[in-house]
Amino acid sequence: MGKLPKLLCLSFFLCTALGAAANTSLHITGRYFIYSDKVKMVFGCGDIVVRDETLRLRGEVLYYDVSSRRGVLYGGHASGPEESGSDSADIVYFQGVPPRFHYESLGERVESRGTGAQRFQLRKPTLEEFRDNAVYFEFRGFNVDSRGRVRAETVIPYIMGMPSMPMRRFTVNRGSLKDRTLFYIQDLNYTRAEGLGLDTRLQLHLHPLRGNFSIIAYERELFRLPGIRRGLLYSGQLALHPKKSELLNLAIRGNTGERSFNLTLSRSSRIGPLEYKISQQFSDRSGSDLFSEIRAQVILHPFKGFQPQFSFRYNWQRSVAYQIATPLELGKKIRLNLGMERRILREGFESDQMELRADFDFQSRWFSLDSGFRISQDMLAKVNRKNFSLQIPFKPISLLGKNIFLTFTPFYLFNSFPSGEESQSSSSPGIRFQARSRGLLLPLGLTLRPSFTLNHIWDGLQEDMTDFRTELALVRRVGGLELAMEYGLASRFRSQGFWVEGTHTRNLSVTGEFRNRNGANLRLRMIMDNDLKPETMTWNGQIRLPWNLRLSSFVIYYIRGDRFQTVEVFIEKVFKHKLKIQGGYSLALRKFFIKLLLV
Amino acid sequence: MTSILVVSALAAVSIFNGCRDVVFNNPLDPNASRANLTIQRVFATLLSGPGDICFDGEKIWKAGAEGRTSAFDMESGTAIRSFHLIPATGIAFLERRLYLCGEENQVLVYDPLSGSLITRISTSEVYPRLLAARETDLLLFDSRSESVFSLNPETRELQRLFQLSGLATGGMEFVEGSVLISDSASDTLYRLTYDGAVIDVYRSPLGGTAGICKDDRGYIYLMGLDGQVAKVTLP
Repeated sequence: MGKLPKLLCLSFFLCTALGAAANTSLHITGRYFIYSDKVKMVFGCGDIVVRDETLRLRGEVLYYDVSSRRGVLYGGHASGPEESGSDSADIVYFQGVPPRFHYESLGERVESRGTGAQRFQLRKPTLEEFRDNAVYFEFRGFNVDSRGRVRAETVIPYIMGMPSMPMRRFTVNRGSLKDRTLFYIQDLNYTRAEGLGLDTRLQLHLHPLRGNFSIIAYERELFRLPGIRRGLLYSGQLALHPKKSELLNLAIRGNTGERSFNLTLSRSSRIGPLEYKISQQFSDRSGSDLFSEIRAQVILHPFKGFQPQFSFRYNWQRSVAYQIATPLELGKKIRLNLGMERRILREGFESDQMELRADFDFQSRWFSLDSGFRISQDMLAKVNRKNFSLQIPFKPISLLGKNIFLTFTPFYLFNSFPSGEESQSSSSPGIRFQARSRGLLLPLGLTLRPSFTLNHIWDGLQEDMTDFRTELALVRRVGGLELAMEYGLASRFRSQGFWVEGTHTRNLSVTGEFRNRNGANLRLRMIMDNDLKPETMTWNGQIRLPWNLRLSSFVIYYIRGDRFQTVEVFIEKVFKHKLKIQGGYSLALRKFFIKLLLV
Repeated sequence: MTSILVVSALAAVSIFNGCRDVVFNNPLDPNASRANLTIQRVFATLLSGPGDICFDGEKIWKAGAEGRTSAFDMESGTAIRSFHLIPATGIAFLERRLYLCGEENQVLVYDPLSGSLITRISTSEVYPRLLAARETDLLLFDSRSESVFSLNPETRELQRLFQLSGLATGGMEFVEGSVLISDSASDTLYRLTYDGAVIDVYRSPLGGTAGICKDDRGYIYLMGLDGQVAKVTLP
């Protein structure tokens, strides 16, 4: 008699556990699903059913983000566990396991279940994006648990585009692997020029160590390729976390093929108003000496808006550099930064550089002021380089009902640099004036959109110059056709010889664009060369065809070179305003393609 | 105002008279404009921010400090390809490989077709910030010593060429036996010999020149921090 209560209790616990397990998984079936670990999403189509204990969602197209455990189901409806009482919906958004969902019909919310259930944006990769990976899976159904583990049913794995051994069940994603030690294959590449590359990752989580590493093994000798025969490219970082905070960080990277490595040990922390970071770096490669450098940085936080900093770096008995900066910000209107840096290097050559800099910015209601001053002195050659810049842009003025905008900016540039044994300097004040219009009406229905910029510089380096930049666009609209001519000219008045010279900035181009209510949109643009001969042609067109098909094309053609830079021609069809299928040719991809998109 | 009218009138005349690189010039001194850097074309891209550029034979690659390396068409500025690689400031294209460097003491070599890492070149005490491809080797600007080095990617041999301190270096390119380096603080381009002597100094047409490269026809491309690209010729 004593065994019966135990058996009943065990059965009860087993049923509860199974029930709990069932509650924490989501079962999704349909005609076709595809998953790639690089995309981290599942795409499915055809009689999709998403169900758990209390819910059943039906639809035609599914996008499911494995990382966030969020899905969007198109063209279906949601209902309870049985088929009765279902409501039609265009889009169902569901998230979490067990799912909270929100579904809409004609853009309006029909029903929600669970807290926080709402509409969200989800990336919609194309089928090509899935199939563009070395490994992907096609299957007929899958389970997702609360950790995001995806167990697929009736699976065909594809390796390098080729189907391999079908399996009844297979875990295509292991779910949230945070805080676990893992070693996995990230990618497999083969190119005829570079050989085979296997990209693997190691995630380390062994208390008190945490790290991430990338290890790429490459093989060239097997394919009789020149260069380094084989080797490993590795990089990663390892952190020591004895408690919550990080005690030490180790960053490493290297290439066994060229026998090089780089190791950096660093520690950063903050003690009251003092923030610091120290690091020690070792770097070596075949044929060179070991490079070892200590770096330190101290930042003080005495009050808001002021952060004086001191940086230091030292290469044992060879080089030393230090830097002081004092950034000060007062009420986001005034910014002042004074700094100096000294670098002394003796690494096969001698160098001693000193740099002083000052930056000052100020903003007011009518204008702003930006200025910078820098002196760089070579302490060995006793030559220096000086730069000073100042500009005062005034706020734009609008005229004639915001049709014309005027901007005005005075500026000043000073530059002094060593040239041979002497130094050259230039002191160049100048002004910049710009006027642009949204459009001026002319006879015959023409609209002129001019833009004019004047830039005068009293140039201490060369000679005084006045630059004019003129941009003109002449537009005429006839029904659905818009014809436009555009031209840009840069001209320069030189005081020497009192003459004006000019060059094209934007060559003459003629554009014709046709749009109609039936959805046709054709745009042809011809860009002329300097001799007014056609040079480049761009074409962008969309035409609606019978059976709700649409022909789209995009072409860049170099007329003078008699070659296409790019060609994209494809036909697309939209199903139920949601699903778009594209098929055509791309010269940029150098192949024919078929894409499945959601619009 | 008079000068504006004169310029506008001359611009209009030039368009109808047919265009040349230099549209109108001083008839008494037709080569006067050749003393300066001449703008050929300006176009916009959607790739802004710091990071040098390089030419691979048909398009221009831009290194991104945020980690994205992209290629764009050199006529229209349209983005053609993009990879998420490493946060990089320097980039060079040499013998079908893409070389990238950030602020660490290494140069990473990538396959420009697949974006996969091919190898890693350790540079020990040299911290490359900028790269430029010469005929068979690379030039690199070391941020630690503020010097220009040459690096042989096959033998890994590093050789110091000259020191260049005090510049806010934006981009670097090898141009006909000399080095072209931009100083984004003073919007100036310096053309230097391999021993660091200044050959020429040019005023950059862009504010904040972030990158420089040269195409196979000898045109120089300057890229600004705002994503604008100016195609120019040197005197």
